[in-house]
Amino acid sequence: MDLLGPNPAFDLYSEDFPIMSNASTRPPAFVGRDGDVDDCLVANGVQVYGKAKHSILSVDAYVGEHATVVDSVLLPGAVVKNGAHVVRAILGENSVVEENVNLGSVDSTKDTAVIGNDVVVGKGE
Amino acid sequence: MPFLGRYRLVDFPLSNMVNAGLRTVGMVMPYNYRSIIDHVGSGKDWNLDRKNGGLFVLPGSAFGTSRTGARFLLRDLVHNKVFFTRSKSDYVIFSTANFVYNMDLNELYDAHVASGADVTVLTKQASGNDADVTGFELDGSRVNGVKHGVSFGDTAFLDCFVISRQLLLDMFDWYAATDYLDLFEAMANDYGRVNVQAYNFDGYAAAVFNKKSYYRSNMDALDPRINAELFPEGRFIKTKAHDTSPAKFEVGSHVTNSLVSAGCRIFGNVGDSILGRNVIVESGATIRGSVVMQDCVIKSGARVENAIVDRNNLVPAGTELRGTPEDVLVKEKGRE
Repeated sequence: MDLLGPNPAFDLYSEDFPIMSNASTRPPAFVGRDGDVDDCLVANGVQVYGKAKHSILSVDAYVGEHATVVDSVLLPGAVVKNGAHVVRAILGENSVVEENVNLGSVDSTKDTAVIGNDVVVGKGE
Repeated sequence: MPFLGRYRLVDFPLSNMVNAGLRTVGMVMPYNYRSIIDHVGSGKDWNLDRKNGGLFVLPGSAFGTSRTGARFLLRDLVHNKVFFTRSKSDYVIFSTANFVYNMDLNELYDAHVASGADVTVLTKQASGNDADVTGFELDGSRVNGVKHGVSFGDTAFLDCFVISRQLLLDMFDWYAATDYLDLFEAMANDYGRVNVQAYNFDGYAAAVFNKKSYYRSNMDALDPRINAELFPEGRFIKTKAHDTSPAKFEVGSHVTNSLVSAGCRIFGNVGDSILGRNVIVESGATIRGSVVMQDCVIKSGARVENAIVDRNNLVPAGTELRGTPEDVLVKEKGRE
């Protein structure tokens, strides 16, 4: 999260200090016609059809139509389906938040919601 | 040729081959081969850096592939005869880097083996006129003629075919006197003897020969259905790996219907566009309906509309690059 916002203390884009990593074979990130991405780090393979704000979207993360993701970290392959709302959460690899589910709370006194890898969050859970 | 932000055209045929299980690939080099070698290197990113087989760099003739209409110039093939004589494979699959599609080439190979044809060419019904695409005249599914240029509904050649290695070597002898021709031109009077079958591909395929088709095929990828066909699960298009950070969509940026490669930093507005790696869009800058290649900087207040901006360009603050969807503006490569 410290990497977001203007002029973070650690510059990911410094030419003098490139960050070496393994490389994905995924296409560039796609922002849909009604997609809205604000203050986010967005990796390759990401698809955003809804709204993402102040969040980290890792490789192949997916934000469906009318879904919102705020103040969250989506690990590789995490899926937020249409109409779901995710606030202050960490979604594990290949986890799924089902349609129209609300996850997490704006209340910063509560713990951050953490969803494990491959976990599917349905309604009423 | 860079394509869709992070790719190059050659990534598509090369990945199709590797994804189909081919492990020995020869690439005939153009006259100026610096950039292609820079891109493919040892073939590592396609898992072609192998002790057995792998990537072979084959010399091409000086004016070979630049001649209009010549796809598989006999001279280029005969010149590299040893590559084919040394191989122990039964079949050879050929492809150029002029078309963008993602296909399991085993379908083509299986059809070839099942039909018992001498050559099986990959084709598609033309969806419009294109003077740069090779067309076939068919009798049923058998080819009996070849022509330059296709119109709507014609059988367009996707520049990909299968042939047995032995027949290919025989053809080198048959057509030795006409080595300045394309293989299919050399065959022109031989379609009675050589059984060439067409195999129709019904997925998305786009020819990329000129500015117009380059622009259109890039824009096609903004259609989620076409995008899904080009990048299906489990059949990845591989490309040269770079260490680039994720793209950063800064506070106040506005991006819709666009493909954004890693390393981009966006402060301004981007719509209906494709951004290559490490493109910087400053606040107040606007990009619409454009293809902006890697390392470009669009300064504050600048406007880029219906344009193809080649790599390393700096678009100064407050200036404008504007074309129309029918006549796209091209900004040549900037200074390194």
